[in-house]
Amino acid sequence: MNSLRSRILLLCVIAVSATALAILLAFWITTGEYIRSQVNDRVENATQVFNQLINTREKQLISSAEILTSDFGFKQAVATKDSATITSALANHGERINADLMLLTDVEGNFLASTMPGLLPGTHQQSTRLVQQTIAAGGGASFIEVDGSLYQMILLPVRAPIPIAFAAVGFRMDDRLAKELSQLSGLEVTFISERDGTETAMVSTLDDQVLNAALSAAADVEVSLRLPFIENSHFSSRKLYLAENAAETIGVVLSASLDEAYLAFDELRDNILLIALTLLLLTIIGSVVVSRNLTVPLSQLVDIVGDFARGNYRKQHAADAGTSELQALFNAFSLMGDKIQERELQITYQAQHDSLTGLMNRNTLQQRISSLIDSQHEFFLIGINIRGFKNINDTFGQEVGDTVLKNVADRLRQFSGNNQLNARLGADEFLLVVGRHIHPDAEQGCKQLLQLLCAQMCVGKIDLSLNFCLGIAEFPQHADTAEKLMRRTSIALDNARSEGAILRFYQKGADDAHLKRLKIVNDLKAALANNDGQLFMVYQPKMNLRSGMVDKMESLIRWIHPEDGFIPPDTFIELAEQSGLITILTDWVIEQVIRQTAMWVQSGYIIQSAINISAQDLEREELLTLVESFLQETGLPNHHLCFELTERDMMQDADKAVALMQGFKERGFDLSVDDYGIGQSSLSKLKQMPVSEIKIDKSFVLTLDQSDTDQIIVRSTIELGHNFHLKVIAEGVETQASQDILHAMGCDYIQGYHLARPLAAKAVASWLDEHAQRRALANNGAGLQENA
Amino acid sequence: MTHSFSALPYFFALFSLGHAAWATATEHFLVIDANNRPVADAVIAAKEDRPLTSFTASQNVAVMDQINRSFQPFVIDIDAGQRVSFPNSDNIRHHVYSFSPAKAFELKLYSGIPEAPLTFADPGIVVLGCNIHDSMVGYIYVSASPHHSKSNAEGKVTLDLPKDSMEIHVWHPSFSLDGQKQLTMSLHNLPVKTIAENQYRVIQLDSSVSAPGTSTSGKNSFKSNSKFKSSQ
Repeated sequence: MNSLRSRILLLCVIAVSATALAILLAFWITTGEYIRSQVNDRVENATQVFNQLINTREKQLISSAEILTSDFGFKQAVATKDSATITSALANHGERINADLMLLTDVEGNFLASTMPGLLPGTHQQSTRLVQQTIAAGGGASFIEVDGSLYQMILLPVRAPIPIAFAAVGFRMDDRLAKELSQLSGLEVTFISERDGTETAMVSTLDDQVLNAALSAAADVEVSLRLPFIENSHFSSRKLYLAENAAETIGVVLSASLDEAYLAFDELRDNILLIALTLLLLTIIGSVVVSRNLTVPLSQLVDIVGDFARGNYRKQHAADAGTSELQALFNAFSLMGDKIQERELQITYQAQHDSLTGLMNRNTLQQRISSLIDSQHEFFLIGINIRGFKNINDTFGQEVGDTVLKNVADRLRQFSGNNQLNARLGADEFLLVVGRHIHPDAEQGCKQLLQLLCAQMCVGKIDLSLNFCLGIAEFPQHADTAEKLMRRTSIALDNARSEGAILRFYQKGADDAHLKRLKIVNDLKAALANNDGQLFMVYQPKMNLRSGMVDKMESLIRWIHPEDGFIPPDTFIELAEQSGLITILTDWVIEQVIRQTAMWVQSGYIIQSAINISAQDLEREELLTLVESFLQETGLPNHHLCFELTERDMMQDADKAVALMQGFKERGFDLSVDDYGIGQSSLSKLKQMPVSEIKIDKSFVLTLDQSDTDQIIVRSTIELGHNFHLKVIAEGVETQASQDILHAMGCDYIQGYHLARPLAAKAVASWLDEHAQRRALANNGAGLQENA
Repeated sequence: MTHSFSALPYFFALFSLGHAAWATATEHFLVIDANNRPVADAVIAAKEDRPLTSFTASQNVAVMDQINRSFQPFVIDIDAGQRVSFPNSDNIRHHVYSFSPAKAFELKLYSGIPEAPLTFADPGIVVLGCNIHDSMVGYIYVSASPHHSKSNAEGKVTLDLPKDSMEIHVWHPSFSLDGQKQLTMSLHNLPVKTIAENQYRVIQLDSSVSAPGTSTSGKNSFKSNSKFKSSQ
């Protein structure tokens, strides 16, 4: 019902119906009133006419009857008082005037004779009474009912010359008379007899069906809504009493049929209805046509917009657009469709392609690969990385870098020929799909590709010769989904890159290791977030060789994975560094170590804890703030902390890192160079570093007592350190012999299994106590020896 | 006709002698209606217990003339057995008849004097009519007693009644529709009124009586009973 079409239709239908109804109502009311007064007038007039008719008839009948009663022969017969004679005379004379009933009474009202066999003297009480009543009134006319028939009775004296008898001459009130009266008066005539309150219609010009309705109708006409197709047998009736006899009352009901009065009205009403209906029909057809002209194009437009929504921008032809406005709307929609399609294509292209090179992006290529897999084509993927691209960018600027990338992309296109399935994945990383049917041998294909790629490239005035590394994964040998295939290509490329090779095929299982590493990172993240005891710190004591006291410890992280068990710190720390988790890990370690150390210090142990930090940590300015906040919280003095950095990390020459280290140093923290000796640190750089300690890598120390070379290196390192006023510590001391050598070399501190394995935090205090006791004993022994 | 007239005194003489044994007395009556107006043409007759044969009817021929389309006089009273002549003084014909039980007869269209007077043997009231003039009505009171008379225009009647007579008949056309009804009254019950030194016995009729000759005349004397009453 909310549609435009039904609304237009409804409006028109209501308008027409209301108009027709209003006309009809007005018509009904005025016509009803008019007809009412008309009918009333008519009935009134007709009643007068009827009265006159009855009077006239009475006079005529009286005249007829007088001819009879004044007949001398009749008088003579009456005078004989012979019943048979009188009866025959009555019959004879009655026929002359067409009387239907004749009877004779004496002046006392006693029956003498009658022409009706059933009406013998004394047998008809009611009639007798009526006659007596009439005689008392001096004779005249009346109406009586005899044996179910109505008679107009003319009662006349038989004069000789004064009355000797009364002759009653009856004329039957029959249908013919009623019809005659009806014709003359223009009303329906019904003679009725009322007896004991019951009204009986004796003679009527009306049909039996409507008789009762007519008799019971009111005299006044009601104004009524005469609806069509409904039987409206309305009458207006007026009752006149003709005679009130003792037993019964004779009357006449004059009925005007309203149907006749309303005939013209009904016809007019029907015409109005017919016109209204025709108009309604025309309106419906008209509004349907109009709304069709409107709604059909509209629904076409709706279809078009629906097509737009589904992404179908086919050209629309507005064949049925009825009006110019709609045609314009149609054209606008078509134009809109074209423009949307244009932009959509553009957006789609942008969404699917790399904006710089015009190659596909990762998602697009992945979808294509999926399709290829579905169609069971054999192919292989080549992941391509430009070696040292960062340098090109840094050296020649990004503009040159971009040009290089575009040129590389062009060369890839050139290589692909008709089968353009090339994507740029990252900054300097490309991915190429090569069909097996074009290059049956992957390695051969790669060589061709490299030949093409490595050709001299001239960018502006710069001649460049690029180096590439390639990783290859084959379908179906290496994976069965696009995602895996791409990942494994990437793994192969990483391998090539990290190994410095030009070309690496994916090695089966490599992906699993990759996935395992991913899992470790995720689990580590969870372990850090939950802090549920999987991660914990252990502490390996460092002993001052000169004093024999243990006043330093290196804190080391341990991870017992609930499923995989012990995970080597080297493994997960490296992964943490790669994934950026290392900063969170370091923060966690710092908090743990500071809190633990503060507890020991509060317990009276003089101890310095060393914390390993990575190169990435050094780039975080907020690290120093964090450390200080924990120290402030726990009340631990600064000199109880030492930070260890690997030589490699330290040499990464970031100014920020140096500045941070300077900050640590200024605040009284010790800084130690870890794994010293295996890196390629220049001595000059070491000199610049604000470190207070170097830690000789355990590879030189582990077999110190057996290797002369190691002893040379260690000795010189110790000397070097001391020359720079640095404390020297050796880790990985596993034998007393090594310890003795180091002691002899003047090494400041030792750390290693010989002294102690890394200890759980709760075991540290007791170990320190035991160590102090052992040292005391040893000192005593030594003292004794010396004394001895 | 000459003969009949010459016999009259003789008859009268016989009558007088024959009844000498019964002494009579002259009585005065005044007939009035309910409105105390005098009633003319009222006949008063002695109630006669004796048979008709005990006296001789008057030999006088009573005359019921027809003048100007009416019977003249309107009422005559005669003895039973007396004769009545019906001369026609009009220049038109009349057809005099009577269907009264006392004397039914018919004098077909005639003018002048009919052949012979009619004898009215039986006492009773004879109503006269003319077949061609319905308005003509006349009455002949045929008395069973020789003592009878009718009231004049002043309603006064004077007649000789036998001294032992206790009851009288009173008749007037208005008493009944067919004019046949007469009343019987006791003399002693009648009030007496003295007018001009004469004592009148007053006979007051129950109803109002119209002037003679008009009471029952007119064709359309009936009243219409057709009273149309609207039902409303």
